[in-house]
Amino acid sequence: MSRTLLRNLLILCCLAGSPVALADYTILTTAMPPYVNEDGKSGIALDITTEMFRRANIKFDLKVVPLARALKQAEKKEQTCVVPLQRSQERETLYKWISPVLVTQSALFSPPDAKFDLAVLADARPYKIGVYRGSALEEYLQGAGFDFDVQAANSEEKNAKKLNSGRVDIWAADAVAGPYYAKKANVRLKQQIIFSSTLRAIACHIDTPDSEVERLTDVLKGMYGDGTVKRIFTTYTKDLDVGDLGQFLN
Amino acid sequence: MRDKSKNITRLLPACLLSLMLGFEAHAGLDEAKQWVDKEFQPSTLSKEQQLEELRWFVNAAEPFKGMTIKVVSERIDTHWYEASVLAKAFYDITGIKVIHELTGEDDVVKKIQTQMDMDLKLYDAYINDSDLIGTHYRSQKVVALSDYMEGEGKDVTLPTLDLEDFMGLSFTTGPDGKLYQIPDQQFANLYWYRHDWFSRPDLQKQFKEIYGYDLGIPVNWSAYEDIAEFFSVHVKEIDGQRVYGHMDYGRKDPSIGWRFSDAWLSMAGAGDKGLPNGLPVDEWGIRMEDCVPVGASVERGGAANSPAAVYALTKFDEWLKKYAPPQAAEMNFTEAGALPGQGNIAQQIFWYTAFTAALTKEGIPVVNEDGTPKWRMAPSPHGVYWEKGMKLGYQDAGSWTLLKNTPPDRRKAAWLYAQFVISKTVSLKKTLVGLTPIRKSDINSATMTELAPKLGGLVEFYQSEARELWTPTGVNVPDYPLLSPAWWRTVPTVVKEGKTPQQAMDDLAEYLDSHMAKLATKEGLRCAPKLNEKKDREYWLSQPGSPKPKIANEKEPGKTVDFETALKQYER
Repeated sequence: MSRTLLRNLLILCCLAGSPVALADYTILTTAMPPYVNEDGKSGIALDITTEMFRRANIKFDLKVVPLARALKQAEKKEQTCVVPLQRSQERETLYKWISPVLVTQSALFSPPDAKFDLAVLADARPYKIGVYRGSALEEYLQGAGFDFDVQAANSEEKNAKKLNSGRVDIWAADAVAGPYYAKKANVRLKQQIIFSSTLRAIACHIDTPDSEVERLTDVLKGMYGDGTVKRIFTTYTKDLDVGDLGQFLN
Repeated sequence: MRDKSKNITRLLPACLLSLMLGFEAHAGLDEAKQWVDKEFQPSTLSKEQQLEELRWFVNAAEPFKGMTIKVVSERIDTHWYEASVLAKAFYDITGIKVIHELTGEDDVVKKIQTQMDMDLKLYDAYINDSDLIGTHYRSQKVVALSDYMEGEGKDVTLPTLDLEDFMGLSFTTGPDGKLYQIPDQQFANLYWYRHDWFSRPDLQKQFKEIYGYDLGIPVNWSAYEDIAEFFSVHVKEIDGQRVYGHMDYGRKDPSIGWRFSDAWLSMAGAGDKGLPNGLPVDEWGIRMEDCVPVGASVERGGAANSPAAVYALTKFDEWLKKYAPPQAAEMNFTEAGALPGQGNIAQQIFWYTAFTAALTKEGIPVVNEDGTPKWRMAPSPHGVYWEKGMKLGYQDAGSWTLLKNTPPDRRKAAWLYAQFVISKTVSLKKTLVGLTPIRKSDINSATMTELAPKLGGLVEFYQSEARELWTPTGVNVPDYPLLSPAWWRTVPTVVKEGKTPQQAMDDLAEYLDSHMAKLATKEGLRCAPKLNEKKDREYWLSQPGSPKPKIANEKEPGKTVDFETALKQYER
C-alpha cells in the first residue's frame, strides 16, 4: 500500500468517526449606521448576517476594520468574509458571494417645504446638492453627465444641517441612512426620488467551498421568505421617515 | 452582453427641454403636444399620428395616475435618454412617475436573478439583454408578452405597437413560439477597420506583394490574420506612430467571458446551421433536443471542446500575443475599448456598434475634419469551420421583461412606460440619440439614410439582410447567470496560466455540463437539462453537423472584399 493511499485512508477514517466539523469564519465589517452600527455588533446588515450564520450552524467572529483592509484580508485569507459589500464586476472574480444581504437605495432629499418636484435625476441640475465627501454617491453624481453642482461635506450630519439651513437645496444620501442622520440632527426631510439601488453581499475568500456558499444562500432565501429580513429591516427603520422603502421585501 | 461608456453631451439639449417644460405634472394632451413639437422630431409618424398615439397613452394611463414605478437598465446613451428625457415626458403626459435606474448590465442580470430567486419585488420591469431568453422561458417566472397582450394586459397594450416592425423579435421568442421580451435597443458586434489606411495605394501595393491578394475587408480568419501580421510586423509605423493589426484583451474578468461567449465560437463556426442560434448545437456548443439541453462537451454531443472551439481559442490567444499592443493581455473590456479611438489600431475582429457615437466625436484621431469617420464597420470575418446558414456574430438586444411576481397594477403601468419608449412617436428620435435601432421603419427612414455617411457603415448593415446573421445568445442556454461564469473562469487560463486551448475548452465543457446537471433537478424548471450519456468523441465527431471533426488545414487561402460586396454576400 502506498504511503499516499494510507494517508488518505487515515483521513477518511478520522472524518467518518467525528461529527461534521464546521469551519470558523472571520467576518469583517465597517461602521455604516444603521446597517452596521458603531458598536460593531448590531445593525440591519449585522443582524441579518448573524442570523444567517446561526441558522447555518457556522461559527464566526465579527471584527470592525477599515474597508480597504477588509477587502485585502478576505482576498488573501481563507475563511474570511466582508459584509456588506457591493458586488461589482471588478470584484466578481476575487471572492465567493452570498447575495443579497441588503438592498440599499440612494435618494435625493429636500426640505419638506421645497417648492420643486423632481421627476427624474436630471431635474436636479439647477440645484445645489449636498453629498458625503469621498462617497460612491459623490462619484456617481459627478460622473452622471449633468454637471451637477455637488457640494461635499465631511459627515452626513453636516449635510443634514446644510439642507436645513438652506446652504444646499438637495441632499443625496442613502435612503435609510439619510433619515437616520436627519433624525440625529433633528432635521425634517422630504424624499424626492430614489435614483439607484444596490445589491450588497457577503464576500468570502475565493476558496470558500461552494457547498457552504450554497447553504448560506439557501438560508438567506429562507429568511426573505419567512419575513425575517423584513422584520429586521422594520426594527431599525420604524422610527425613521423612510416611507414604503421596505415594500420590495416579502 | 457587455457594458459601455456613455456619451452624454448629445443628450443635454433634451434635458434642458425637460426643465423648460416645468415640474407640474398636468398629465394630458397639452403636455403631449409640447413634447411632440419640441422633442419627438423627426418621427416616421406625422405630428397628428403622434398625438393620436399619445392620446391613447393619456387615456390608458388614467387609472395609474399618481403611481411611481421602478425600472432598471444598463448604462448606455439610449437608456440615458430614456431615464432623463422620456421618463420625464411620460410623467408629464400620463402622470405616472418612473424611476428609471441605470447600472451595468452585469448588475441588471444580478438584480433580475435576485428578484426571481429570492422572490423580491425590486423593480416593476427590466430592460434585460435577450441573452437570457433561455433562462426566462424555462424559469416560468417571466410573463409571456404574447399572452399578456391578449389577456391581462390587453387594455394597456398599444394598438399601434406594430410588432411586425421590430427587427429583433426572433431573439426574444421562446421555444414555444411565445414572445417573452420585446427589444428596446439593439446593436451588433462587427468588424472594425481603418478605411483610410486600407485605401492607401502604398499599403495596398505592399500588402499584395506580400500576400498575393488585395488589402480589403477580410471574409475569413486567414485574411484577418494576414492583415494583423501586415500592420503589426511589416508596416509597424504610420505617420511616425507604432500601429497594430489587432486589438483584444486578456485579463481574467467577467468581460472576457462575455466577449468569448458572445461571438468567438459562432465566428469560428463551432455550432450548427440555423438562425438565430444554430440547431441542435448553438454557438455556446450546447446541444438541445426539442427544448432540452443535453450536453456541451463533445462526449455528450456538444461542441464546447470541439476542434472548432479549440481553433477559436487558439487564434484568440495567438493573435493577442503576436499582433495586439503588448499591454492588451492585461486589459479588460473597459480599458481595451478606448484604444481604437486613439488611432493606432488597424482592425478589430469584432467591435460593439454601441461605440459608434463615441468614435464619431469631432476632434478625435479617428475622425476627419469634416466629421466623417476614418474607420468603417463591416461584417466580421468567419473561421474555417463556418458554413453558410450559420450565425456569424453577436447582436445585443436589451429587451423589456416583465416578471410574474410584480403586482398586476404596477406591471400594467410599467408596460405602458415600456411601450412609450419603443413607440413610433419617440423611436426615431431615440435612434438618433443612441444609434441602437429596433424598428425597420426607423432604419429604413430617409433620416437614417441621409445620416449613413457619418456612421461608418451602421445604417448600411442594419438596412441589409446581413443583420439576421448577428444574433444574441439563444434558447439552448438554460440559465445564463449560472453558466456564463464558465467563460471567464476557463478561457483566460490560456493567456496567463499556460493551459493549452484544448485543456481550457475541456474545462469549459466540464463546467457547463456539471452545472447543467445541477439544473436538471431544479424545481419548477421547464425543459430542464437532461445530459446525454458520455460516448467516445469520435462517435459524435463522425455525425453530420456540429460537433465537427478537425479540419487538417485550418489556414485556408485569405479572401478579402470591398465594403459594398461585404454586405451583399450575406443576402439570402
